[in-house]
Amino acid sequence: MARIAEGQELAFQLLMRRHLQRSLAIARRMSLGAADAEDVVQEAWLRVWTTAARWRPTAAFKTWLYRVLVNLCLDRRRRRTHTALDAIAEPADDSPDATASIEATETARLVAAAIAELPERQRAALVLSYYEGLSNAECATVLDATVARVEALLVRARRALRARLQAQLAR
Amino acid sequence: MRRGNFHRLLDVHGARLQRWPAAERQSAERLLAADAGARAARDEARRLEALLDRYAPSVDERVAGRILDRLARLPERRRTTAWGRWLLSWDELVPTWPGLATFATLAVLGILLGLGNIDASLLDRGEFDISGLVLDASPSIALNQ
Repeated sequence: MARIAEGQELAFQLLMRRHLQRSLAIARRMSLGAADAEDVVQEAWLRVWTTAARWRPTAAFKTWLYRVLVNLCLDRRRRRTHTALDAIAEPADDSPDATASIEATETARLVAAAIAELPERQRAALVLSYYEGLSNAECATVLDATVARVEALLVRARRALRARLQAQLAR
Repeated sequence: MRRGNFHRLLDVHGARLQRWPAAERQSAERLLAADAGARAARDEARRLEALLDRYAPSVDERVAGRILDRLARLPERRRTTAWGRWLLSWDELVPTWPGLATFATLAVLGILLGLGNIDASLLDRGEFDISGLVLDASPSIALNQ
């Protein structure tokens, strides 16, 4: 990051290559459609480039990047009045047969829909904590909240998911 | 650890006890060994996480490729001089700016109000000492000396 702050484009390209897929996955799990996710991730990385001088070595790059990215995702979602059809990402199809594949696709769609219905910050806390494996303290930094607040968001998110996926959980 | 607390911690940290803080993990393991209800809750949390794992949105390689292509031509960025970096470092004082601004505004208002109360005739007679206005606890005394 220090090299990027000095304006070294090669360092920026290397860092972006390393984190780009992950950034796109986060944007998709934040229930953005493919086009919005692409826009938001590009904007986030542009900001990394333009504001690199503001980065402090005391902050982990990942949490800094995620903070920029999650805020952009939340902004983009707020501007949407409804969840676009393509916002619910298609799951990977690696099932052994067609029936299992259909069932897996349907389950993934239901899970995606349940996540998409969560309030924005609950969804962000779940994505960062469960899917990205951030500690609750790191989540708190990304979401500009206290650890207690993050924990409350996670509790509510999981309870809501349990309620919405009751039928799938009972199988 | 009580079962209610265990349920909350399951929602906070998830079904994988490796992710739990060490002290709470040990208490949870003891509870799991002794309480079937706690084990049932842990199993349900595992099933929920198995469902969450089904949601793996595919990320098209071409999307990443397009972003890399677009950002291969980065916008010109102004060079940050030592002065620029020093100014940026003031960002960290942002939370104190409102307090400083209020203090400065009140200080200026106080001086202006004080100046407004000066008897112009004193100025004409050369009997006015500005240091009395600024430093003295009771400026009117300084003005009347």
